[in-house]
Amino acid sequence: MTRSFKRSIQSLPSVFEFLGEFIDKERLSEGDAFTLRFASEELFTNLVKYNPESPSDIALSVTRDGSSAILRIVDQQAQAFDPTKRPELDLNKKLEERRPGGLGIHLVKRMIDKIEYQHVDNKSIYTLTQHLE
Amino acid sequence: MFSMTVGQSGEILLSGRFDAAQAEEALKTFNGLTSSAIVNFKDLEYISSAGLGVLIATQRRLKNTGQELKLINLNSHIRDVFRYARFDLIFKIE
Repeated sequence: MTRSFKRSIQSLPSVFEFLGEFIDKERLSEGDAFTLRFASEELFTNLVKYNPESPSDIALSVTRDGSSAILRIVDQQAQAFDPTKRPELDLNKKLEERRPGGLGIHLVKRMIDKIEYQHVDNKSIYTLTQHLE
Repeated sequence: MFSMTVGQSGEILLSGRFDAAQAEEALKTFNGLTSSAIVNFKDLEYISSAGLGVLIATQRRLKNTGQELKLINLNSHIRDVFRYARFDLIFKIE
């Protein structure tokens, strides 16, 4: 299943609806559904925030490959942003020392089994693999 | 779908999905809080980092005046997210 979404936070309900079709069709567990929604939202909103000038829509595809779900997000006209190369956050800091930013990607890396990133022809391609319960 | 209601006792009940599309409106409501409160997650299915950001901003503001949020009835998936984010160090969670 593949669909394109306008580059806006307001697209999130449509993104969730799209994911819901896959979740229902594949009868995913609540835990897998949560992880898939979480990773999709965090990457999608990251592209909305940090690549706002691109006129292109953002494409999502989600497929099942045996016992895994494969989520692919393609952003056209994008500068390279490799989430796998982001420095680790220090989450043991006290409340007053914590700063916003980076938490969503950190959590995706913690929750998703495998994240691959390619930057080809000015396109960012994120491929996430999640082993299903 | 997300909703946030404040009960007579002052307890805040969250329900649905607390995602980035809801964060701005939710923050306006949380900004109205001036004293400690219980946030009940009983009917909350999902939260993303945007929702976590609203809660941590509120906790930081309240703690400056000696007040705080206490979180109850988190489902197992949301509880995992809080644990991964080490928010269990920042909030009282029951």
